[in-house]
Amino acid sequence: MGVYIRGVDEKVYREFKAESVRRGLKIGEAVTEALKIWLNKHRKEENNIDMARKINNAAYRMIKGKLLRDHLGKWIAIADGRLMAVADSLEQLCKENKEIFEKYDHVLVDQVTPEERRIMRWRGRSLKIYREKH
Amino acid sequence: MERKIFEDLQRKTLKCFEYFNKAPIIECFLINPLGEKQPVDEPLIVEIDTGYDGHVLISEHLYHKLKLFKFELPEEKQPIIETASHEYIRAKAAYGFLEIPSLNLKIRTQIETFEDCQEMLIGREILSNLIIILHGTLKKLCIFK
Repeated sequence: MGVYIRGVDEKVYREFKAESVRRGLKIGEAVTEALKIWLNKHRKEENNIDMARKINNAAYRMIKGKLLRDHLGKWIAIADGRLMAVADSLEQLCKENKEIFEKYDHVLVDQVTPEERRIMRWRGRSLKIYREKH
Repeated sequence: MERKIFEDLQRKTLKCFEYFNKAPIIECFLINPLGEKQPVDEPLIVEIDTGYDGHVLISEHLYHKLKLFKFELPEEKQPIIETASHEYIRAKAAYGFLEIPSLNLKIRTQIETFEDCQEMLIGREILSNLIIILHGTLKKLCIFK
């Protein structure tokens, strides 16, 4: 299949072409390989986030009672399936624990309150219309 | 007369935004709790939707770009969005900030998205922090002191 792509950086493309020639690949073969690597990289990232999200939520459910008892009103960060930090405000939590947010794929942040899930109404559009539009 | 009323109001106005595509909008930036801002240069043009109960709804792409999955609420607290046709969408929500640079205003908020969401709008939770007049005939949204 032939594809015409606009907006490719000239310098990057020149280097890419030179490298594919050096490796004895046709440009189409090299582009296909690059696309596969890019797709895998992003899928892997998303899988890592999803997995970490599940682990952190399971940890939250396990320690929820203790959090409500010991840290009511405080801000918490759960990463890697563990309670990593407790602070008085969101700003403090992030400022004093920057490395947690940089290191882990997913961090669960919350102000400890007995608040439950909300149902939010969106009267402007219907899902049906939304799906048709896209 | 109408213009005079508007001129009187304008003296108390902090900022007016012209309607965009016939819809009231606010120009703003979104910032994650580590201070990373999107977009980097020009502000977003975000439509006001009084029919939306939530805070700020953004596209899933922007949610990822802002790395909001690193500041996410527990699943138990994440909202469910009920649409006009009574369908239910499980949303993701994270903490972040909405900044209106022309007002020097930064509001801590929840930022919501859902799978394949491409919408961007400001809901009633944000509006409840602001005094806003929608001037339909002049096609302006004004924020007041």
